Parts: sequence; C-alpha cells; structure tokens
Amino acid sequence: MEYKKITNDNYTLHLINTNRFKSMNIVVFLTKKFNKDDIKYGNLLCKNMVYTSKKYNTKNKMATIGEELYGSNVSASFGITGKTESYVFSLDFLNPKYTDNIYLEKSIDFLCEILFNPNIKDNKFDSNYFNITKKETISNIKSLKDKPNLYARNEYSKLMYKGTETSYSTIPTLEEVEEITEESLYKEYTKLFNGEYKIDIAVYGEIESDIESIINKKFKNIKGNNNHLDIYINHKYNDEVIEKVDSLPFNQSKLYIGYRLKDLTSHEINHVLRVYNTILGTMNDSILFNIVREENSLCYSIGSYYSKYNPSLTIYAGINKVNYEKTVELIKECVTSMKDKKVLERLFNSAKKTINTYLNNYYDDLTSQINLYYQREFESLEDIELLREKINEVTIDEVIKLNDKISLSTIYLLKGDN
Amino acid sequence: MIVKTFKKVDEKIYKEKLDNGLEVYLYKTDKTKNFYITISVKYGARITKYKVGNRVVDVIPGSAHFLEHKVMALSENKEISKRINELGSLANAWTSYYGTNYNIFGSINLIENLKLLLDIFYNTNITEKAVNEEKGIIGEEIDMYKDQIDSLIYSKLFDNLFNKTYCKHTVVGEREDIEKITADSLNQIYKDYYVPNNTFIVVTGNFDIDEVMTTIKEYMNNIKVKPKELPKRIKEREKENVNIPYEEIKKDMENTRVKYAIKMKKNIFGIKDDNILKDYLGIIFSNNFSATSELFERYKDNDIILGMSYGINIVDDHLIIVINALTNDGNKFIESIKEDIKKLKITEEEFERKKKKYLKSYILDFDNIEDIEYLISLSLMMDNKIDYNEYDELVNLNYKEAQRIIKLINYDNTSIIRTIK
Repeated sequence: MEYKKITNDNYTLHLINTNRFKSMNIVVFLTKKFNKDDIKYGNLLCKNMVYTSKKYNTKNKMATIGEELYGSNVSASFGITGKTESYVFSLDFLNPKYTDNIYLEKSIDFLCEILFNPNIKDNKFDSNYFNITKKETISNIKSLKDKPNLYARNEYSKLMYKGTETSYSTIPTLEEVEEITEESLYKEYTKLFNGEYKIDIAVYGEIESDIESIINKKFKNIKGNNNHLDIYINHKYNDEVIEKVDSLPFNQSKLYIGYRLKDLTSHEINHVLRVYNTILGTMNDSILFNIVREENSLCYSIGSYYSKYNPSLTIYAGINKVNYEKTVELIKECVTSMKDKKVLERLFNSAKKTINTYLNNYYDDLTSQINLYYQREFESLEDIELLREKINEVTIDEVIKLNDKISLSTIYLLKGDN
Repeated sequence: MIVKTFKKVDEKIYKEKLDNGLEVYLYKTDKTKNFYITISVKYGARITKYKVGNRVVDVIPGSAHFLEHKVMALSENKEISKRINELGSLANAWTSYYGTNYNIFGSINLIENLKLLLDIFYNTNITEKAVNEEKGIIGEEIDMYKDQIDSLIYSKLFDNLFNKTYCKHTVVGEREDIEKITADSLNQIYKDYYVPNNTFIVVTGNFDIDEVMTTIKEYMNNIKVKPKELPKRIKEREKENVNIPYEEIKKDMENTRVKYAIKMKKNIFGIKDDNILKDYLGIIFSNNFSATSELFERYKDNDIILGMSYGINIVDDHLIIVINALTNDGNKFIESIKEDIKKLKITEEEFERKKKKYLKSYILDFDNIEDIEYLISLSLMMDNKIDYNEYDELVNLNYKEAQRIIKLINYDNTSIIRTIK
C-alpha cells in the first residue's frame, strides 16, 4: 500500500493506493467545531442530497444511475466525534478493471453531482422531496422509542456526558425538525463548501497516476479551511453516582453502566485502556462474559467499550428486569477484580494477542484505513505496527494502576415492562 | 486434491473429500494477515423430525441452536478455552435452518487453532446441569429477538404462511420449547448428525495448504470417527393454501409494519436451480419494488409508504415472495399493493441494468476471508455444492426468460401480517 498526502488551500487529498480490494472508494469529509444548533440539519441535509439532484431529479433516476454504474453507491452521514461534527459523503464503485475505464470518471461525476448540484430551485430544496425526507426524519424521531438499544444508549449518553458534546445524539428533537424549511436547509447546504469546514478527500483503491488531476478538476470550486480543530473533551465530571430507570414495553431490559476516567496520560488512553477494556469486556474469556453470562446465566449479550475523546468506560448488558440489582452488583465486582493481579495474570497475555488479531483486521477493512488517515488530521495517531508495539509494552501494573483513575458515574436501566 | 476456479475473479478453492466422508475446502490468499477456520454440520432448525434405522425422532424446536451453544461450550472446556485465548483467537458459532457453523478467527498458529476447533467439535459432553444453566442465557437471547419488531413479525408471517413446515418455528425456538430440551435429546441429535459424512471444514486466509490438509487427515486418523448412515429428514406434508391469510399484531409503535406475502409451488416455473430462479425473481421484483421503480416513487409521493423492500424465499417445494412496508397508513398500502403486485413489468434495458448490480456483488464477495467462507458454507448447507460458474450464469440470464417467469407468477395465495396500535 502506498500513501500520499497533498495539502491544498481548500482541501487535503489522501491517496491510498492498494490492490487489496476489488472496489474503489472516494470519501469526502467535512469537519468543523461542534455546534448543537447544527444537529437539526445534519440528517435531513444528508437525506436531501442523496435523494435527488438537479440532473437526477427523481428518486427513481437517482437509483437508476447507480445501477447503470455497476452498483455505484453514494452514502451520506452526519456525526459527532469529540468536540467536532462532520458530514461524510462516501462513494463506492467496482474497480474499473472489472468493467470499463469510463466508469472511473463517471462514478466520480455521480459523487460530484450529489455534492455540487442539489435539487434546488429559487434558493430552496425541491418541496416535494424535502417534504418526503422531512416526514421520514420525523418518523425516525418518533420511532426512537421502538428501538430499545438505540433509545437506551441515547438516554444513557445524556446522563453520562451531561454538559459535553457527547451528550448529544445526531437525532434532533421534533420541534427542531418542524422548524426547518426548504430555504433554511438550502442555506445550511451553502455552508458546506464555502470555507466553514475543513475538507478532506480520501481516494482508496488501485489508483492511476491521473487521479490527482481528475480530483483537482472536479473539486476546483470548493472552499475549505485548514484551521486547527481540537477533538478531545475535557470533561469535568461530578463525583456523584447517577442512577436512572426508565420503562418501555419490551421483553428485555437494557443496562448501561458508565465509569468516568480522570487524568489519563496519552499512553494510558491509547494503550493501557485498550488492554484493560479487552480483559474486562471484549475478549472471548472476558471477565464480564465469564462472571455475568457463563457463571450466573444473567444475560446473552454483555460487553464493554470506551470513549477516548470523552474519557469513559461503558458496560452494557441485555438482562431480565428481575435481575437488575444482582447484575449491577456483579458488574461492580467484575470492575473491582481488575485490581486483582492474579485475575489479570490469567488473561493478560491472551488479551494482548486478541488485540493483535483485532489490529490485523485493519488491513482487511478499508473504512478503518481511510479513517486512520482522516483522524490523523486532528490528533497524533501511531500507525498500526507502532500501536501494536506500544500495546505489547503495556504491563500488568499499568493496568492495575489505571483503576485509580476509574470511578463509577452512571447506572441506567431501560426496563422492559412486558 | 481438486482445484476449482471461480470465473472472472480467478479465485481458487482446493477441495478434498476424506475417506470418512468429511469434505475440506481451502481458500488461500496473501492479502490478509488473519485466518478463518470453520467446521460446519449440515444440520439446522429445518429438521423437525427424522428417521434413522427404525427410530423416528421428533425434534423439539430450538434444539439445533441449543446444541450449538452446548458444543461451543467454552466455559465448560476450560483447557480449550484457555488455549484459544492464549493464541488471541476469537471463537464463535451460529445456527440457521440449514446448518450449524463453528468458527475460529485468528492470526497466530493456524494449525493449533484448527486442532482446537476440531477438539471442540468432537469432544462434546452435554450434561443435564449444563443444559439447565444454559436455559437462562438462551431465554435472554429469545427475548432479545422478540424485541426486534421486524424479526418478530417476519417469524409470525412464516408461521401463518405454512401449515406444518419447519419455518413455523424460529431457529432459537420459544422459551416453552427450550424448557423441554434435555441433555439426552441433544446428545441423541449430536450422535445422529455430527458425523464426518455430514460435516465440512473451510479454511480461508494465508496458510500452507499441504500442512492444513495433512493436519486434518492426521487428526481424523487419530480419532477414528467413521461415516454413519445419515438420518432421513421427515418432511411434513404441506398444504397449498396459506394457514392464516391475515393477522394483526398489536404493538404500540410509531409506524405500521406490513408484510404482504404470496405463496406458490416453485415447480410452476420449470427451473431446476433454485438460485437461478431467485436471481430472475430478484431482478423482476427489484425493478418493480425498489427505489428504481415507478411504483416506489408513486407510493412515496402519495404518502403510501415510508420505506419498502422485498424478499424472495424458497422453503422446500414452495416459493415465498414478501413485500415489506413501513407506512403510516397500513390500509392504504394493503389496498394498493393487492392490485399493483399483479402489474409486474420489466424492459430489456432495465433487465440488463439490474444484472450489473448482481455482477458487482459477485465480484466483491471475494474481498474478505469471512465473506468467502460464508459463501462456501452457505452453498454447501443449502445446495450441497458450490457454484463455480455463477458469473457465467448471471451473464447468461436472459430477458425472455424473465418475461416468461412474470407470466407464471400466481398472486392468489396470500398472507398479510401487520402491526396495529
């Protein structure tokens, strides 16, 4: 794999040349400092841009052109990461060597049509399609209560990360969406390429030498900035423990337990925490899996994950409501057992080898590879082999010491009332 | 060892059938650092009753999945579990109607991982205590699926479509089913079906083909498992008419879900290969019900749907076509679809365009070692063979045949399921 980075005044181009996959990808990232007022536009703008365009001015035509290009597809998403927000537009298409060279430029044109030629008339989005996508968005918001995992995770995040960017989901309120008009959405669209966002373009696949000039030609009119963006959140946690129980008519209850992490060093957050989390909740024989599921039969799914941008560790489980107290106590005991050297010794080397297997996945996952180069625009990230080396240097004592910086913050239960 | 090549992508599979009937499929690539090893048995939830010798066995629903949990019982096989962890590997398993798959994903010491997976598969010892302990875990898994509304009404739809066939039950079964499962019932199924001539191994990744083949042969020689007479699946006689034509499920949900299904005999089309029949129908229904269709556009514009998709299923001798809708007005959708489903159409240009998407999907299947393994395992479980000529078959799909198929579709035998508040 060869990587080349070209920084222009208006965008940064990442060329990742590899024959690993039979597809090609072009991903356009637009990033800026998080502003909660942008949430209401995020998903609706994405939907409108990929639903129709000026040239493909019906849903039917938009879907048809994708098929004509051998299943080329453009997806759009809006996300919040640490202190930033971003729009991501991603084109995937078959490597033209399996079809015809004309499909390279045609596929890029398809992406550019979506980005630069939206279905606009008189400075507003087409009313018919705007109304369809608005209805879809409203329906998604209203049906959040029908999706227990998503609902529980959102409610947990509101509690756990109160007062910070992470407490917001990308799902706006009904009132916020109701306010949006065809005009206001178009106004938001005009901000995408007028210098407000940092723009990164990643091209991934078997790249010909002329790709740089093709991209430069297609993206010559966009304006972006190269301002520095902070991504890490300095979360001033309260020391109290918050506990909340909600109820909805489901069979299974969803439990989330959040632990705050305070004053972690870069080594701790990038290397030690990864080993800690693997032992606690992600490896085959993890402590949570063994104690809560296998020894006590309290759940089918249980695990843990961490957030490095808003330092925290989260444990989740799907349980029966009658086992709530027992499960919480067992989970607390599992976290306490992370101080026990004997427990850690049994799993420590295995955890590192499991992480090695996960790290190898990087080479088989084009999204991870593209995202690594994109994320390096905002933080100093080691390449995978250096990361592997550093993780392998982590000691048991460092894992034990991490417990001094971990404390219980939030317990949230979405009780299944059926 | 036989070498087979997939057309267009020039990807090769090495295949060998051992003396005891076990089949081995190896896919080698230097594009990955990991490997994926699986052992599968062609026994899944569709076997509800079987005969072996003079013995007839009624299978409790959920048994295939329960057995999977107890074969992959790492917490009971401490030594194996410890070693898998020491190698940094990830072990898992899944069950479908057609088969059960046990797998290890790893990056260090493929040969030892392979032996460990074989140990898991061949050293199963199911006790009553272990079965009772597992009931709590599987009960939670059942509840989890029941909270997934689409999965729940899909199961109910298939229950309503059929009178006796296996898909009246879900793969995991119900809580009251699993209460009836015992160590004896699972051990019996294990002895009857988990035999080498009903089993296959797939290895994908970067490895030495000869070394893997030799290891498997040596292992098999040591444990001396012999081929056995395979049980005969007893199929229930299915009636032609759907069991329940209409059902409402009360759920306090924001949007209404509707599934409109038609049931017909698959032999009316005169196409022997189920996959080719599914390809034709997939193209036809995509042209009429996906976002490229005029109907999708019209339903959206007239507020009939929020979203719509279709599914083509073959269940023993029957073909089931399902139109799924997410809507704010279930009645309006049902009224409209009843008429519109009978107006299927496709032009030659549309047919050729739809084929392109299928060709892309075929080519991209070979990008990931897990996808390749799944493609091989699913083909062997469902069809008992791998189709190395799929590319040519897709290219050769022809418009006239599609038109003939449209004329043969029978729209009269329907079952509808919907949610109401």
